[in-house]
Amino acid sequence: MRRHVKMAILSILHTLGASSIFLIVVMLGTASTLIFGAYIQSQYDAYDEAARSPFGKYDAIVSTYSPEARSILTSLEDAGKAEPIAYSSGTLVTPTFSDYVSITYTARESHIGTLLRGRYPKKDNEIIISQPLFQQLHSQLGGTITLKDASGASEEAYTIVGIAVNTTRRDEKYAIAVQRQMATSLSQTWLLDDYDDRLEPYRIQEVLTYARKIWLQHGLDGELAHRTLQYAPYIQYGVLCVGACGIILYFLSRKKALLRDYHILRALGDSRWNAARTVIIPDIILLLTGIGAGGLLGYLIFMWVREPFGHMLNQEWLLAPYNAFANTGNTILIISMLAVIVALCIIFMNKVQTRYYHHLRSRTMWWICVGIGLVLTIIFTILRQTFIFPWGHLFAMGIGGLTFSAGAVLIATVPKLHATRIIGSRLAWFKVLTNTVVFILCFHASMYTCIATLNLDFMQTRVNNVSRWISIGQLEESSVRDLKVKFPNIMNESYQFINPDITNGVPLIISAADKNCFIGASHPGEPGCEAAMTAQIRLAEPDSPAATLALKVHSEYHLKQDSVYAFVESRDDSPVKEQDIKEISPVHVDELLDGEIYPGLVLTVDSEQAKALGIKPSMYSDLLVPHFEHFTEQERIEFRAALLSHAPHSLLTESDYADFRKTVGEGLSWSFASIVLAFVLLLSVAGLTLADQEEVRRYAYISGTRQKYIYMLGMPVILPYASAVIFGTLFGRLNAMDHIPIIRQGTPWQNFGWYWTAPLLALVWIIPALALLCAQKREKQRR
Amino acid sequence: MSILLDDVAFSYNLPKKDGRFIFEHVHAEFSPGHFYAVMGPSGSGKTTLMKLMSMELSPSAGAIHYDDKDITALSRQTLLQTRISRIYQDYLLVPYLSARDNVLLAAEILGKGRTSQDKDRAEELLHTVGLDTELWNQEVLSLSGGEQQRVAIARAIIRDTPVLLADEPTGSLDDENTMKIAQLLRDIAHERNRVVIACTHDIECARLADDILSIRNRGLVSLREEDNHA
Repeated sequence: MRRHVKMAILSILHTLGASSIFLIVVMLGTASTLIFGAYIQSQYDAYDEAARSPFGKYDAIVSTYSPEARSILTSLEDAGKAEPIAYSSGTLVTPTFSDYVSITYTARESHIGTLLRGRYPKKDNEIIISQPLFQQLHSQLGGTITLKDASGASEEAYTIVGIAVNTTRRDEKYAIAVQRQMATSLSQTWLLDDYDDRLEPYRIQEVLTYARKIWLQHGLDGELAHRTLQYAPYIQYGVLCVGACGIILYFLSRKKALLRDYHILRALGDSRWNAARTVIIPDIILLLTGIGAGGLLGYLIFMWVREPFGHMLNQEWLLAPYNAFANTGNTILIISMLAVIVALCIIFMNKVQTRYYHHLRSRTMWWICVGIGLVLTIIFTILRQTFIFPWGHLFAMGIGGLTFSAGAVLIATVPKLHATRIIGSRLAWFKVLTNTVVFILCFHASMYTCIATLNLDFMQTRVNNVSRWISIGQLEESSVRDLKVKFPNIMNESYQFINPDITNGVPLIISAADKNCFIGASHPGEPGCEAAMTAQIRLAEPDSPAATLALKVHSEYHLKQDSVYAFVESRDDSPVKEQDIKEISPVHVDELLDGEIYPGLVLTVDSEQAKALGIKPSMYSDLLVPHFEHFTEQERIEFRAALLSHAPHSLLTESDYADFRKTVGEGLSWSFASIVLAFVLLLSVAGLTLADQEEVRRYAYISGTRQKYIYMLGMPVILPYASAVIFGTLFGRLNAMDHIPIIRQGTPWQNFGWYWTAPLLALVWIIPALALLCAQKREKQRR
Repeated sequence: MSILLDDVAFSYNLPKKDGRFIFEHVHAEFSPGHFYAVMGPSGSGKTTLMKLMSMELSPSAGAIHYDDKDITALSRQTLLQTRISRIYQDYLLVPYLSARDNVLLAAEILGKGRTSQDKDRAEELLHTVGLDTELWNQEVLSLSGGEQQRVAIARAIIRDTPVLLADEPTGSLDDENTMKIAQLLRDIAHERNRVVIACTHDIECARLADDILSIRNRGLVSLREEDNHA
């Protein structure tokens, strides 16, 4: 054992240059991955929390709660275990600005969103506003604004004490004030510190009757929030795989030294096991030390930054990191070990010449660049994830691609210093740039493929859960017409919601219960404005205060009479009947859906009613397929596929918010294009590698080596690159394939992704391994 | 321990060489207490002969016996651990170990452990092969070719096996050191009753041998026997 230890130490010291760099790379990779993983996990949880309850507490919607439930809540409030929250909207007025905003009144300091600057309001006259609002106001912290409540009940001046951004509502203009009186008077929601079993029956009742669609929506939002970040692990896998390729390259570059030591020990009579153990121990020690030190470094950095970062980003995320560390650490360990195994297999099985000619002149400068690149990659990733710089992921992709590929090349070149000094570095630049493009494409393909999955899942989830309702971002009218032509069976029973928001009208909530809600100011999941969210406009009783208010607002904004729309109230206890519609608006609906989900005004495509109203919607936000569950699976697949192919690209932004997600169509096209391009580039890399080995090739030619062996010279280099590309793309594809049908000549095909992608992935390793095994067997037979 | 080559034949069987035999019908016997020099032009098969005797290669025909025991009955590891030591043409030293550690490594592998006597013995051998004391603790990579060769010789000797196979043991040495090493090999053979076989180009080294074997016509010819016949 002493010999192993001593040889290990001396071997490490001997190759200090190469090994220490390897160590640092593994360490930094591990640390950054851990931090990245922890961060992603925390964001993931933060999204989840934000979607389920923005305050990280249990909420209770009390609008239909019985008096008994209210009394329970009141007693809880008295005990300090519950607080009322009121959502409202109003006009914000400054000398240079006047616009509607959503307002949240709370009874005490509550954390909503992420505090970017300043502090949370503590006094009644203090307020925090959203970042978009702050940017539009051109105001300063400490500035004063005036809020007019929509009901006209209040008009108060507030001092801006903080700026916030909510990751799930990042584009929204809103304000949060600590106003106990307003909160109590307007509140329909109570936040509870602890769940109270006594309220459970009322909550169930709420779900089953009035609020069920809200709860459904609420749950979906949570699910979507999960999916929003689901691509993150794939990026992580991609980064890890590239790192694993770096490790493989390192071992390949060490092949000569390892074999030399092994043969010396064997020549001295050592057993195979002892000799192999002795030569491999230093590298294993380095790897484990790198992982261990990296983990420690990551942990320390995380512990150091979590307090300020946690406060800045999201309070809830402090709970997340430990699980993330464990999961990420395991992943790193598994992938690293796999990399070592693969490298060892190649080293001991491969009889092919493995000379590398990556020509780098100054390693120090390159390593500095790689270090800076790593830091910048992490910074840009964080900036993008916090929405401070939404385009950060593009920079992270570019810089990260350059950094990781340069790092991999550097690791491979360390033992070849003498060659680099002789030959120069021009080719190296070309190679690194080529690698960069490959990496970016992997990154890109994985990410967009997953986004494609996300979009499809988004739609499918709704279809599957709701059974009869499909919502797809925004669909052009021409696309809807195409769908109608292509799927008459389905579309004959389908309807489109006409979204007034897109017809340049001011959407109003006209309801006694929701008199303070404006559609433009409401947000899915906000209790109290659920009607706004779902039915867009709700019917009010004639001559009721709500109707009076509607007409008042209507005239105030100089709207034409016929742009007020009526929708059918769905609540069983609603006194409003269908015939009442005419009394408030001349609108006639084509058909009324009396379902429990989204009743309201629905117009078929080419509706005469819509024409009569002068409604010219350019986009359809929702599509109703009332009996979708009755269609055959094939029809469903075809219809979904058609929807995918019609998904628009124009409104796709960098946002993670569901309404702005990239559509499946773009994701598909990008990912396929990326895969094709990646393979083209892979071939280029292979060609370049072969060209690189000109010296060896010439030697082989002179010595009469067969042509096939000459081609095999590139295999050791091609394998890691191939794995980088294929892992990067296929990991993303794997999850997507089962869900996304391939459209061939207009016909969608269910392709059962797992069944053919997994074997394909395995073949990436199996085919070269078999080829090498066969080569070795032939070699033995010749002997 | 004696070595007997009984009708040994060997061919690399490479496609380009059309199965040409390096050795055919080779008969030779190496006795303990003798120092043998094997000579021949480049490519004649000197190193191949070393490899055959150390089981790196297997003969195409015939047999090799160690003390009447067929070599095929032994494993290569057993052979290397119990019967033979080799001095390699390209030294095969662990580059990041010192000269002394390289020598000790061999002793340790053979003895399954390191003893305090091994260190003294290693230093004594390094002194014997003429390596300066200040070089003992240096990495062998920093030593010259001749110095590395001497370390390799010391490493082979410390194993103290019945047979010592030396492939060009004086290839990188000057005349003075060549003679010194040749004398050392001869002393090992005579004083310790070992079989020492050295493949060499060096006539001066070969002159100290008890017998010189020349590789001719794919066989081994003893010059001493030739002289006797003459």
